[in-house]
Amino acid sequence: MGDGFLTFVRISQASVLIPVVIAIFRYKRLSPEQRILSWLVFSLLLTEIIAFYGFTNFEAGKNHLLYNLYAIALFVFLNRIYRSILKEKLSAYLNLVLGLFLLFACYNGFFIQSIYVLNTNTIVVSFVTYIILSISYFYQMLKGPLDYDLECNPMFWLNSGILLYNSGALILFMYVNQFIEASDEVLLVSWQLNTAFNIMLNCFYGVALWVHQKR
Amino acid sequence: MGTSETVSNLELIIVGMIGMFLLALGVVFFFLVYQRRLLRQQKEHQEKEAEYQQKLLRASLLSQEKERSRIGKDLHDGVGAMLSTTKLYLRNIDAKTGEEDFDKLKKKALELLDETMSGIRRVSHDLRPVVLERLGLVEAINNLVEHVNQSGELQITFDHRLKGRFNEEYQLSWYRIIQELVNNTLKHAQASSVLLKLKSNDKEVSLKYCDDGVGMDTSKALKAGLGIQNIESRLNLMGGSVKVISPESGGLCLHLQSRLKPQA
Repeated sequence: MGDGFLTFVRISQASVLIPVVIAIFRYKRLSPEQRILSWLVFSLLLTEIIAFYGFTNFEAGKNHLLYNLYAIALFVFLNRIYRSILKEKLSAYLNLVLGLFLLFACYNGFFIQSIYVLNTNTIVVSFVTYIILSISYFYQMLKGPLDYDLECNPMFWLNSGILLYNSGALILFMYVNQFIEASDEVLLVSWQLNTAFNIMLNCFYGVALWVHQKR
Repeated sequence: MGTSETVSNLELIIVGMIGMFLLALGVVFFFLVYQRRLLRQQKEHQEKEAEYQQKLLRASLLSQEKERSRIGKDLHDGVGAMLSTTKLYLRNIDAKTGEEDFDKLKKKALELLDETMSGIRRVSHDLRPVVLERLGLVEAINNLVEHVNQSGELQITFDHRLKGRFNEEYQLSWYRIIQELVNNTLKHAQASSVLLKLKSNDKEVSLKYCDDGVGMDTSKALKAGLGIQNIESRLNLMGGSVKVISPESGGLCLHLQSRLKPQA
C-alpha cells in the first residue's frame, strides 16, 4: 500500500472531525434526529481512533472486528433516524428490519464469515437497506407537502449523503473479498474511490448537523 | 482465476462504483429539479388563486355598493319624495281650511302615505324577501317566476326536485343567484323563454339554467360582467362552481352547483 494512499486514508479518517466538531458545538440546538446523527459521528470518531492505533499496534483481524461492530452500530443509528423521519406506514416496519438485520449480522459473523474478517455480507445488506430507505424518503418528500427551505433541511443532506456513499461503495463491498489477495493498482483505485466517497459522506454529515430548519 | 481476468473484474468494479455513484447523483438531481418545478407550479397556482379570489371579492364589494346605491336612490327618490309631498299637504291644513279642502288634502295625504308604505315594503322585500323567509326557496322562486311571466317579456318554466334540509343562508344565496340570472336574461339575452331546473340531494344543490337568447362566448362568459362574477362569488362561498355550456341550438346554458349546507 503506497504512502500516498495511506495519507489519503488518514485524511478520510481526519474528515470525521468536521461533523464531530459541529455536533459538539451545536448539540443543544439540534433536533432529535440530528442528535442521533451526532451519536453516529461520535461512534465513528471512536472507531477511527481505535482503528488508527490498531493499524499500527494490532493484527488486521482486530480492526476488522472493530469495523464489523461499527457497521452494526451505524445500522442501529440510521434505522432510528429513518424510523423518526419516515411516515408511520413505513416506519412501523423498521423495528422488524432492525431485528432481522441484527440476527443476520450475528449469524453471518459466527457461522458464515468470521468476525475477524470484514463482514461484507452484513455490510452489503445494510447498504442495500440504506439505499431503499433514502429513496423512500425522497419519494415521501415528493409526495408530501413541498419543502420551501430544502437547503435548510438536515435530513435532505443526510439522505443525499447516505444515497451517494452507499450507492458508490456497494459494488466494492460486494466483491472485495473475492479480490482481497489481488493487491494491485486497480484494487487500490477502488479503495481510493471508497475513501473519497467516505470524505464526501463526512462532509454531508457535517452539513446535516450544521443546518437547521425554521419551524 | 487468471491475473488478467482479475484485473478486468476489478476494472469492472471501478466502473460499477462510478456508475452507481453517478446514478445516485442523478436521483438527487432529479429530486432537486422536480421539487423546484413543483414549487414553481404551486407558487403560480397560488398567485392565480389569490388573483381570482381578489376578483371575486371586488365583484362582491361592487355589487354591495351597487345595491346600497340602488336602495339609497329608491328611498330618496321614492319614499323621501312622497313623504316631502305628504308634509306639504299636511302643512296646508290648519284651522282656517274649509271642510271640502280639508277632506281633499286628507285624502291625498293618506294616498301618499299608502304609496310610501308600499314603497318601503318593496325596498324591504328586495333586501330580504318575506316569501322566502315564510314559505321557503321554492315558493320564493315561484313568486319571482310569476312576476316575470306576468310582464309578458319572458316565459320562465321552473322545475324543482328538492331533497335534504336546506340551510337558510344558502337558500337566500340561491334565490339571489336566480334573481341575478333572470335580471341578466331580461337585460342582455333577448330571450323569449327560460328553463330553470333546481335539484338537490342530501349533499348538494344543482341548478340548470337554459335560455333561447343570443348566447355568449363561453370562454369569456365567466369574465364577463359583475352579475356573473357575483354569482360565482356566491357559489364559491357555498363551495360550488358554475359551468357555462353553449348549446348548438343557440342560447345559453349554465350548470351551477353547491353544497347543501356549510361544512361542519
